[in-house]
Amino acid sequence: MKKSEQIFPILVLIILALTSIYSLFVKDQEMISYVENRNLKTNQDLHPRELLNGVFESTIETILTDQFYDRYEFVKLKNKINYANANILYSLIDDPMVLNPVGDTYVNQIGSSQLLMSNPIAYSDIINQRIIDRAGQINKIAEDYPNVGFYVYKPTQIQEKDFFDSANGLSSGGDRFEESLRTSLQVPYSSFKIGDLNDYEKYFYSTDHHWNHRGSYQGYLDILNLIEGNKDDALSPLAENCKDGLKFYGTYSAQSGFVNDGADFCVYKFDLPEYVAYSDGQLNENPNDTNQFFDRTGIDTMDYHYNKAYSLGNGFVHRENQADIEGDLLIIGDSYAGPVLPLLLNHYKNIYFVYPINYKGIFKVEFKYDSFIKEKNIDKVLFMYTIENYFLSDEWGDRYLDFDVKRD
Amino acid sequence: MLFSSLTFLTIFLPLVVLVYYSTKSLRIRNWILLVFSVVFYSWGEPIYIVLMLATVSLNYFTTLWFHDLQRKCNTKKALLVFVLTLVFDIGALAVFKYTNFILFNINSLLSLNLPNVSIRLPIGISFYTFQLMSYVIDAYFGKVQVQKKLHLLLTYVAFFPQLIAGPIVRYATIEHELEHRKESIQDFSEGFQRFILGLGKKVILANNVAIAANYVFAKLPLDQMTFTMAWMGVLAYTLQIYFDFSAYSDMAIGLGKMFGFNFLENFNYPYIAGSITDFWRRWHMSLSTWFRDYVYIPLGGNRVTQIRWVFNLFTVWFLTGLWHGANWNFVIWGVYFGVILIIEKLFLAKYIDKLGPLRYIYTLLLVMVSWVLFNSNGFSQIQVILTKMVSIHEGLNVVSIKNARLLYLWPYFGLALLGSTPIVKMSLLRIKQNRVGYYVYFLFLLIVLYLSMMYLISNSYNPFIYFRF
Repeated sequence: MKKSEQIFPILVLIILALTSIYSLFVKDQEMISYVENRNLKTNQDLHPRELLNGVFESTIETILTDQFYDRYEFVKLKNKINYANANILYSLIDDPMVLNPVGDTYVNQIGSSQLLMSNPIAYSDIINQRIIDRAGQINKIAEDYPNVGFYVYKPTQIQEKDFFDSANGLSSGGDRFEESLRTSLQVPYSSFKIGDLNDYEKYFYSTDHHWNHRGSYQGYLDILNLIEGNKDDALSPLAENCKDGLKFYGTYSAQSGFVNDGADFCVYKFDLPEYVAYSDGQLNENPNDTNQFFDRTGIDTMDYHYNKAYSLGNGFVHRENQADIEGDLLIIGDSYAGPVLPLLLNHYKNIYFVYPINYKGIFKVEFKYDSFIKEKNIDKVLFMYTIENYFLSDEWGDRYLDFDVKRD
Repeated sequence: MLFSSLTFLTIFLPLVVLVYYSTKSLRIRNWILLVFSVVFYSWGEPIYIVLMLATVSLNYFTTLWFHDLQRKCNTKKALLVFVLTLVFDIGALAVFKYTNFILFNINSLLSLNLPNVSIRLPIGISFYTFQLMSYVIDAYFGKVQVQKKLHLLLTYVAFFPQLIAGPIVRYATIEHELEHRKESIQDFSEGFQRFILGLGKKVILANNVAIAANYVFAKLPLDQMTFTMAWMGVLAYTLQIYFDFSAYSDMAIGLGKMFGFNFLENFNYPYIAGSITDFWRRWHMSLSTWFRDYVYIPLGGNRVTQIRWVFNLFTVWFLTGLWHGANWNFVIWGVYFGVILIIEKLFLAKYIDKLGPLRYIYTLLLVMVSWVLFNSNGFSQIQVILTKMVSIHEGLNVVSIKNARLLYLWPYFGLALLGSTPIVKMSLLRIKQNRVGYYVYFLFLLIVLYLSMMYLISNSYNPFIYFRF
């Protein structure tokens, strides 16, 4: 027997043992895995008193898994191997409209392109009814405040479209839901238009579920048209700023294990009015500073945070235009509203933005529509959130209920 | 504790090796193995260590007792103690494993509503009970020396490599090695290599094909079962159970060798068997030989009338099925094999021999059907899967596998199919022969270990089928 064969097991066992000691007791314990979007167990979670009930034993295994030296490289390698395995077969499929699953979750690759998207939304009567009910709530409040203008704008997502139905044997429900919403509403309504895959590629990130700078600008124009009846006074972009070499790995990337190339993250530069911003009641001296996104400190943890770029962790945002202008707009919305807010402010004295899920989480109460509209003397109310927030019910509960128009 | 866990790989194993080889005294080494084995068994479920230690101790004392009675020629009393010992062992197994099954059947037969009893199945009870029984029976019939030292009997039963999922190591196999073994660096290294290969079989192959098996058997609604899904699920489970269990045996045999013990092989490429008779000479050999030696032969084996022989075989396979689990599908699974074996032995064997290569397909198909019986949750699932397996008119639908997000698993199926044959082992042995190949072989082992770690660290699906037996 060769010497190397004798040394082999001893060397391997020593490396394994040292790695576990380092992972458990030496290295800084990580609290959150941004790659997997979950909390991690740390050595602080070990309690010897739990030895007899078996919790200690399972905890130590989880800590080893969570804190193992260089674990993200292992995780990413596994994802890349699985993706490569699937892609060998996907490349044999010629149809560009076939959705190829990536990773263990809901993310699909469109054909053999770099574009990612969620599963198309399937039709169900329950979802349809929830949409009709929400439209009814909006109609009711509009009826109760005849002097206030109410509007609904829906930022359409690709998973609502029926582009993929025939190639994948599906029967998606997005277009039917939109029809239900449109016909049920008694207030002005419009939505973002995705005519084909080229539009998707143009207006959305390939690695995230949000619209990009072109999409959000188009959304801004749509909203102006909806509320003001024209877009003559719309701001025009002065320049496009893309940071070379920096890639945006969004939610789709994170959910599919970072197997695809990142997307470019660009912003338009506008001549914005002077304004004062308050976030959740606090003065925000640096709102909407997308430079935060480009701060690469902690690159591993922030590079898929769309919200980071648009300061969307708040439940209530107030922006006051310093120009001599009139009109107050209340927006009930979601993360799609982030990049649109500063542009709309050009047309109003005050913009109030409520993100109902965050609002409830931060203030521990529901947003009071009636008191707010009366107290602030609101002129116009815009509901602008994606179709999911009309019906979404998942493992975290009935999240769509947070967007219900609950009256005082 | 699982072999395929980071706790075992990075803490327990290095520690037990370090402590074990820090002394040269075999007596102390046996104590070290016992202490670590107790820790290994107690890890995660400390309460049942008491049951195991009590069972071994009782068997130890009663064996000494009937041995003493035998020496004093008090054969009747010795037989009584011997029988009572076996009754206790089987009784303990029955109480912990079959109580709720018995209650379920009583309720069904007598239309009663007796409540279930809250008993958790102690890990490995089926394995260590059979090991103990082999010791007691062999000791009674004088085939092995009665062990005078309790800690050595405890070490035999509790020895962590084979404690919770086999192979069923008979006392006779390691009787000599318990007190007279000689460890060597060569055995240690070879054992470790075998362990890594077993780990890779388990973590890389078994766990990945298990994702597809679990999807079909546990997640897919019956009304969505298709020809494609049924075959994929059954093939996946066929590969999973083999790689799961044979990997555990590989790891157990390898670990045993690292500490100077030589366990018998438990699998011999069962999926290349040419008949069901041949299959059972290759599958879970420690269990089939146990039933042969301790049930079938004592019942008279084949040296009896044909009707009695059929009864003997039927009994053995009924018990084999029941051993695997407290559920009727396991019993049916056992009887299914019993019936096929009887038919093969009565007249089919001579025809099978003439089938040529088709006999492998014959065997594999029957085995795959058996896994449907084994793994299904109820008779309706068995019926649907078997019906769909013959619904060839539906054709193959790869898109349904894609939509189930399982297409990425195809290389694992390919590797597992290849690994079910001796081709890989023969290739590795051949590669190892020459100088460059020797290092390629070790590079291969390192890659297997690295990939196994990758799957463990990534929180991949990691079930162990034979843990529940």
